[in-house]
Amino acid sequence: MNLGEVRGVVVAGTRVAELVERRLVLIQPLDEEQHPQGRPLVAADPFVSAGEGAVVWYVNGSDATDALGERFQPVDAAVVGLVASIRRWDGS
Amino acid sequence: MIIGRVTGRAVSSRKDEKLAGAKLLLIEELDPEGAPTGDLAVTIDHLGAGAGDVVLVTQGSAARFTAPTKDRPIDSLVVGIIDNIRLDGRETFSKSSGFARAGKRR
Repeated sequence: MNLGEVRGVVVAGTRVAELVERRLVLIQPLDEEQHPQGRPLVAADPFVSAGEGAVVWYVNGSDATDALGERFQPVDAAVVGLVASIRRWDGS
Repeated sequence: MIIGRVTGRAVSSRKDEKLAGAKLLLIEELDPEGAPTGDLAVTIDHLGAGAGDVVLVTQGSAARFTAPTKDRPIDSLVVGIIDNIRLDGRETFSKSSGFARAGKRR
């Protein structure tokens, strides 16, 4: 799983029938210091409440479809949780 | 998924039997503001995406999770044609007017 920040949304009205997840979000991956790391990506978001600026956990690859209900969807990234807080054991 | 622009079509006369009839597109990956990242992909399309369309592409084994791509040896699929992109509270792309930032189109 990876840490990322929701930066926006993508709307695609013409889509393959199997892609039923309505909300697609733009995610900027973050490193452990919560600094941007790498390229933004598009992920399915079953947590409709993940608004812009929200820090989330997401999964990559074919595991992503497991976050989206019973039927397989052609999705390679999905939000799996909203991050409330992060505390490091070194106290920072 | 990645955002990409359809820049061409690939034709293959000899290919795996399971790819018979598959339409292969060349996709240039874009960032959310429309700047090319430098990466290219050959992608299967059964949505009817055409030259210049901005599309959403699923990579890896999840690309097989549609009826037309089931059990086929593919790792990249057009899953949507993008109408609109919003980034940091503003619209960076709409299908009718393209990307907002001039000079980023190619």
